Amino acid sequence: MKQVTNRFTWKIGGAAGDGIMVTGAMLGKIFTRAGLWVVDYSEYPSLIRGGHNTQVVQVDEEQIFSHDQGNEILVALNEETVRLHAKEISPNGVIIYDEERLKILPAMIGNRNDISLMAVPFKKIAADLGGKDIMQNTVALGASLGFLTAPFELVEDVMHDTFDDKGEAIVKMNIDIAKAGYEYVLKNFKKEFPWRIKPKKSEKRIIIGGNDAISLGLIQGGLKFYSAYPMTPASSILSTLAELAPTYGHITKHSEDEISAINLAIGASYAGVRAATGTSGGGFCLMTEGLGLAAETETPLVVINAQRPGPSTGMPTWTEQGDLRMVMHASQGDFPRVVVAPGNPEQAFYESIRALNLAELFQTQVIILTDKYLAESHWTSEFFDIKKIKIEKEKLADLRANSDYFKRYLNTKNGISPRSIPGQAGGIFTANSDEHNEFGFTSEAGEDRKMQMEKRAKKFQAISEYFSEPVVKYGPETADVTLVTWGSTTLVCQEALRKLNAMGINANILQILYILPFPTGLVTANLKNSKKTILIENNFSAQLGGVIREYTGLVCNEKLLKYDGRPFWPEEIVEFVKKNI
Amino acid sequence: MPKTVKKISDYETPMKPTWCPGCGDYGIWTALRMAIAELGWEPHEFLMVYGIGCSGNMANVVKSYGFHGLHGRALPVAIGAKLANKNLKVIALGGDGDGYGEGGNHFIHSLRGNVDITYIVHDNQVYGLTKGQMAPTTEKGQVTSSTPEGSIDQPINPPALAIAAGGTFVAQGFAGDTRQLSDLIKQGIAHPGFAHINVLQPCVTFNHHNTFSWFLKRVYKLDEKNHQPKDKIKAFQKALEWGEKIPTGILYQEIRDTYEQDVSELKNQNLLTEDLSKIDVSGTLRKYS
Repeated sequence: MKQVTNRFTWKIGGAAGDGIMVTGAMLGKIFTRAGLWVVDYSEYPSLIRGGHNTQVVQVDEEQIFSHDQGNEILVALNEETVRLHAKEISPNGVIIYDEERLKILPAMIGNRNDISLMAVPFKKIAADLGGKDIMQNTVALGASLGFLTAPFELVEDVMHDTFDDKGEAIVKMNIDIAKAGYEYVLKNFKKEFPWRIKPKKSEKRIIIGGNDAISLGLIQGGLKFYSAYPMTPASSILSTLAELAPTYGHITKHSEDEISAINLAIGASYAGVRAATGTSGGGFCLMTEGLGLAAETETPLVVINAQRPGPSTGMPTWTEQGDLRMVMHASQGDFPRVVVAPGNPEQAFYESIRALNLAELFQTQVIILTDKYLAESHWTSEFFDIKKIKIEKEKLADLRANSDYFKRYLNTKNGISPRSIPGQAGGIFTANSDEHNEFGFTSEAGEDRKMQMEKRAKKFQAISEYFSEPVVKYGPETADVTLVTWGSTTLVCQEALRKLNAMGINANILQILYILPFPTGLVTANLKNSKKTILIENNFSAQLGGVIREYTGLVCNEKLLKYDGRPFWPEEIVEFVKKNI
Repeated sequence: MPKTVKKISDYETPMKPTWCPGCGDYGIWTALRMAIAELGWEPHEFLMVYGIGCSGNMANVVKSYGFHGLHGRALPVAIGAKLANKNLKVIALGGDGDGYGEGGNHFIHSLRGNVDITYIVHDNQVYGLTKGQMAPTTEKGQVTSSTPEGSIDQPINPPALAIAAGGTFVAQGFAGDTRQLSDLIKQGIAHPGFAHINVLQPCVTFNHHNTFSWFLKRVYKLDEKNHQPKDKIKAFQKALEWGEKIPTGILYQEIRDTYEQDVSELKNQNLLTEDLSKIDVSGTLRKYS
């Protein structure tokens, strides 16, 4: 049997509450430390106990971007996992399960005889070593590594990292339990298993998801105040930032609702600190009036919207890119804002730093648009370079202490007015949600209105000039087909690109990273240089396609859309490209 | 900077108030400036955060840093600013529809949080700026432009609500008694925590029931002889008084840790003055490796 080294997919399925995500996260770390590239992805319903939950961990020697449909090891903690996922297992793959929890009948696996069934007494092994029920997962983790004949030291390190704060006894128990699972497989599995792990030397890498990358990016970018109301899939930004608050000295406030969250952040920002708020689409709806308030008062603000399928409650724990048009146009009136849609954790980190810079330098609002797929999945990534994007502070106004009032909304050449913050002598002004004159006093005079509207709009020319890379290209400069996409779908396109290259198909990708201000010139040039363009979006109405048409007058040749709450499979993109090339 | 003696005219702006002649808002405007002048604050030393309504239109006529926010949302802006710069003096000001209707949720939760700011509410029991509709404090049965057959809802009792929600300083003033109101504002400012001052404010244009003379017949002052504000049950009883007799003064006061005192990151520092040049998340990133 041909051996496959360092390329496989592991999947676990069980009920909510079985603790499967912790197991997947540990495996992700183990393989990343082994010098390999990992992606993980989890699916779970919106409940706390029961339901069907899965997590996929895919490993490769080369950088991978999204997971495939197949898998080689399936850990089944319940019958449903076997029934739903046995068909995805590659020939010679294995189902690992505990006979005490479930019996596997031939019909459940579609009468397949090309896969192995390996019963491992998860519960008994954990209990014999003094572990709780939840540690069955640790047995499963050990057993999985047994199949891959991975060096066991990898496990020990990660156990220390994960459980050190719970004390030496717990660490040791977990290691012993994992080892028992590992050895049980080495001893009892007599057939051949073709997939192998062979650690490689590599630069120190990390494995991280979109939400944590944003959280750390915001901190690195000088965030001092984060207010939010929990909403899937944005909630972990609040909890991560709260956990890190003592270390970095920012504060987090879990507010009574999203309306409060955005107004708190506006207040903090007005008072002079870098502030942000985050939510998903429903919460963003509640924030829209606040977004307009920040625009009218020219208060710097960063808002994160981690999308999930709507309208309304929609599918809370699933993914979609259906909020692009909403965030582009949210709030009454006519005002510009920045919309950035990072396509991977690395971009999420760097663009979060930049978002805080942009918000402050241009006294504007920056929306970071992600989705559940990016927010809650994890990718091996090169260690982030904290020096790549530095904090750029706005220079506060030169104030004359004895002057009575300050022209906070002075109509300057580029629209950016000097700014004072409360407490500064000589800087008095009113940040006014009413239209105002240059001092901030309410004014309904036509000339003031016109001046302030044009002043706010002018800043966006300055922002456009500030950017170096509002679009990102992947693959060769010219290609037979260009995949046009945004946000997390970029990752799946990148994975599809790897597969297309392997098939000898010459393709590249155009990712639109900054959707507002729209990089009209760059997008137009790129689309015109492409032989064939395929628009790929995780939504129903091809929202980016509409935006491209609006700004460039150009229409992509083909479009591939998906709106079932799941990210694309790379295979779907590959098939579509093959059909349409 | 040495403090100079301040006059209320030191807090005037070039703008003129837009309230109706005889409006109770003038009394509150005066009382506020009297309080601040007596405290000797420089205009740049304090922040006024306003909601939207007749009350919020005060934004143009008080010389200070100002933030004229959204209808009902003055409190979160004020709290955000205070947490960002805990040394800043912050006063939020709004109306009854603004603060008890649209912003009712923020009011309740601000009382729980006890951030050290002062919140002054113009309670005229009617919507003024939108021309005479029912407010959360409109008396049951009162005819307004949105309730032509009389208001059906039971009115909110703001001080009782404030005490029940965990307020630490709950007071009621009357726009017709600027001296007392000014003292209440000063006491609210001095109170370490969230100070709520409900101000009975006649609307001369749209509320022909709760008029100056109606109030003058009913309001009486709480003092040491007739009330102990530390007693929560008695405070609640006083807060519920409405009709023939309406109490003014401090209804309830307790000393509890402020929000700022309980946030560990604010114990020894102020967010505003933190150094951003030394931030390095590498240590945390290593945990992801």
